[in-house]
Amino acid sequence: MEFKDLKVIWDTQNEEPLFAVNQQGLKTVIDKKSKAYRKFIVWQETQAYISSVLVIGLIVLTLIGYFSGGLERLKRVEMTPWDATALFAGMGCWAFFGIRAFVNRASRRRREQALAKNLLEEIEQDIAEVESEMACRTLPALIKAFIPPYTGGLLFTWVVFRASGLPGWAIIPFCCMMMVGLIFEASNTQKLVPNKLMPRKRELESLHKKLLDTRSD
Amino acid sequence: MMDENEQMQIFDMWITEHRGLFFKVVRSFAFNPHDQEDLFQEISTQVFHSIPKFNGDSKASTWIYRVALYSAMRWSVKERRHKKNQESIEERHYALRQNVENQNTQLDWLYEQIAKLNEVDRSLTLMMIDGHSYREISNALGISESHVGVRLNRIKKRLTEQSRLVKANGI
Repeated sequence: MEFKDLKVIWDTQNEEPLFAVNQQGLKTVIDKKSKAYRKFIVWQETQAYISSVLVIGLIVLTLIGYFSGGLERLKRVEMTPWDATALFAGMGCWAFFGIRAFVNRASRRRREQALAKNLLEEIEQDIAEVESEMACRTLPALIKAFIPPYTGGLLFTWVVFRASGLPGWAIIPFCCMMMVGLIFEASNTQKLVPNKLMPRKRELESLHKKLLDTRSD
Repeated sequence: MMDENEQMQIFDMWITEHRGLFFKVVRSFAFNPHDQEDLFQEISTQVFHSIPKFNGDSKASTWIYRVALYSAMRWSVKERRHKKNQESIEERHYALRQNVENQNTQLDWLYEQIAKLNEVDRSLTLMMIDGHSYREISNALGISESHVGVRLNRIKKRLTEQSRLVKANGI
């Protein structure tokens, strides 16, 4: 049998489709998947903004409360310029955290919108994307990412503790708790690398290799 | 920026005009009704999301093939890893129904042969047998035209040899 005969067999399915599509069911599926994806992305993106706004708002409220006399309990110790500096530095840390999340989001959108010319290029883009996600999850990168919000939080707590008249050592258990939190958060985020990102990278690399292998024939 | 209604209209048009293409990819990469349903949903979702990126440089069918084949390749590799799908059948919205009356043993045999190829050869074969030129295949997959030609000649030869060997199957 010649190839053209196989083509004739192949083309028989054009007259008699193998499947029937439930168009309404399909729309529901696409809608459901799109909503779930959007929800996930929105949650990922807004976490950093919400936490930044909350902490900055809390610091501002504390400052207002302190100077207006609304927070009498905090006024046991006079606030020094160092306390004010610490509060502004804390706000700066959280603002930096929020702005960096915004910049990362924008660059991620740009990368997603970049049009690959063909399948090979698309696979290469996806591999680069996975590699960049993995690079963000190395221990030094994670520590670098988490240090600004943790430092900001710690500075705020220190000022509140001091202004409330608590002894200096009272901050130590709090520091320890924050350190444990930092390690826990970093290790949780790192788990994504072996569990999700590495297998995904291997899948993509295997497809990439198969496509490139056609060139070595 | 394209709105979702416009995107859905284009998707409806594509699924009506090119549904055969979706089915062919699904049947070449997934081999039981559950997997076929799963892959069809995956391909449809990816094609739907790819619509804003389609700039008309290639034919819609070539674009759909590229998106569908990439989804199918990734799905099949992923599927090998996570064979157990956590979503129960009852929870699923079914989008695909097999036309059982359209059984064709010759076509079944052809699909069996295509399924024996690796993901890339399968993709090349599907596009070629569906009438796409070497240039279109090359542009869609990113392999040079000459390599597409060499690989497809081998596949054609293999398929014709196999068809001669299995005449007993009615081919």
